[in-house]
Amino acid sequence: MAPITWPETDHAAELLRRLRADDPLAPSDFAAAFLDPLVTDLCAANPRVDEHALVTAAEDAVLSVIRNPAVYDPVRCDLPAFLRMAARGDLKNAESKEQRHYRNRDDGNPVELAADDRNSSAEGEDELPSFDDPRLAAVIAAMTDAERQVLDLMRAGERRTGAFAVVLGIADRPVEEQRQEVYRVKDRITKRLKRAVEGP
Amino acid sequence: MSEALDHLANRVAADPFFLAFPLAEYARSERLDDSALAAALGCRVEDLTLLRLCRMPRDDPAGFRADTAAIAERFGIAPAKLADAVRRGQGLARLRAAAPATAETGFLLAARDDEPKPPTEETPP
Repeated sequence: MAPITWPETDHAAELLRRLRADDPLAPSDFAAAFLDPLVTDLCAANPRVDEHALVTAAEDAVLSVIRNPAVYDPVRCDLPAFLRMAARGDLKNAESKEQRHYRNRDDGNPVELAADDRNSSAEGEDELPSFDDPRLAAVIAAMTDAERQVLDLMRAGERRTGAFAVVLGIADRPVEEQRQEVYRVKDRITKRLKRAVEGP
Repeated sequence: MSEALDHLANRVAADPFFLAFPLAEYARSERLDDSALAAALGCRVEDLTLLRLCRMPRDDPAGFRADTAAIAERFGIAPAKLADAVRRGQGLARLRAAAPATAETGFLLAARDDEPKPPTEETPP
């Protein structure tokens, strides 16, 4: 197994300072410094977990700091410890999603909307009847093209706000605005589908 | 470059936060694979991953110039080439995002010929 080589504390602090200063090269340098050690660390600590899941969790943890450096508080712990904790949280979320999926399958419920726990989550992602249900078909037929594309992404388990923002035509807006708008649209869609099944 | 970093750079190609986003649009429109994209930008193929993971340049003109200059300098790219690729990629992304709405509302732009000139009256002999 390759040795885990985390950046020196001073180097980590400098990378964080540059992220906060909006240095355009900082995200790249941060990922280059932390992703591989984090993946190696997670693989060593979780030998029975699928490597793809570990890589995804590591990416999510690194991206969380890149997009919002304020999420890390140096007073609480060092950066490697923070990234390990964040990745473990992402792994647990992924495991819960998988268990929900298999639970729905076992209940004879083949279709569910994937939970999006990180970027923009909509409430009420409970099990729904098959999308062939005529009650849902009417609601889906009445959706705009953009809403249908959002629904397709949700059903495919897409989590990234950016992917939703592209289909909604808001990819050029600030990230926080994208996040809020994506949340609104997903929430609206979920509520409409639930109302169709459960009634007003 | 590590597999994990390559994977991350591909993953953020749909994320407007990253330079990967306009570069992916640009490469798609020009049908460029990685080698051709690197050649078009004037950088090494092995630098594409870290280039993609840079932040998207700011929108304001001064910020855009400063950011593209900083990124270009790091990777030995001519700033104008990088700026051109980013602008084209951003424009293409906006067009793609706008296309469904335009189609939905049924806007059509049709060219109109000039109005035909009215026939001149023949003057009686």
